[in-house]
Amino acid sequence: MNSAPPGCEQRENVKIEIAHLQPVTARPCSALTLIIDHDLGFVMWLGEVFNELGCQAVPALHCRQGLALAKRLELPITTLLVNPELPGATRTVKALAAANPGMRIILIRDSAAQPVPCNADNRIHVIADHGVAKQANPKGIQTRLTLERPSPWEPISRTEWVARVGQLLAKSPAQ
Amino acid sequence: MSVGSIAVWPLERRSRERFPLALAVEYRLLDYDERWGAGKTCNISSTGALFEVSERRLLSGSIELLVSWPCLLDGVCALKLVMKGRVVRSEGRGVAIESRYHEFRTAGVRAARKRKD
Repeated sequence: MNSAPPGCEQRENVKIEIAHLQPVTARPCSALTLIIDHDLGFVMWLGEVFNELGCQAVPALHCRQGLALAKRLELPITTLLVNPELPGATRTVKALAAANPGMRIILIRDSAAQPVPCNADNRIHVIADHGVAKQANPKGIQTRLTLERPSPWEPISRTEWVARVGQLLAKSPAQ
Repeated sequence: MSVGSIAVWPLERRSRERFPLALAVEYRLLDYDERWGAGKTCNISSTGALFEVSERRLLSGSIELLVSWPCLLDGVCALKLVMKGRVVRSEGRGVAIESRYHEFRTAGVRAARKRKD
């Protein structure tokens, strides 16, 4: 019996496929970008931007998930975008940098962030410099790259963001 | 009304705090055992999503969305955002949901290849 609303068809093939969904465990593939941020919309947005740039990206909504994903990927992570304010961000950056020599690190910064914010354990210091910041910590993790999250009501343009991220990646030297 | 016209969508009352994204979406109405449909997202945030269904219908109750990640891993492995919540507005083809839970999952290489075929 099909009591579905009009136009809402049963789709057995999809049902079977979805039943086999597994928690994120990407298969071996080419090098990629790992995006770690709690903001789902921004993560999806960045995924599209990276895709338009021809770069493969994978998402994680918190650091633990990012680390678990990285362990399972079995491929080099060439770029890490991470929100340094997330719990465990410093440890995550250190672990991923150690496992992926030469990995680019780009910090996601809130648009409302103060010029010199620090993360919870004060090990990553951010010194803003017209949108490009310098970060360093006593353990030797350094990056000069940040990407500012758009403020909630700021007009957003895909073209502009593709250009912005493209420029950021072009500037980003392997570390 | 196209996906690209979200700025004037009458359903959209919070257009800029969500990110405009036109991604393939499949949904399941949890209160109507195994009712499936498909469409395209208009925007997504941590708290909800607006999407456009393929055929005009009214949706209500609990819902599960499967949103495709923009790229396939290694060209074959599909990554999906699984979002569960409830329909808060449904007009014409537009459906807004409030999210209660979301996570990323893969469908695996085998499922992705099957879909390609």
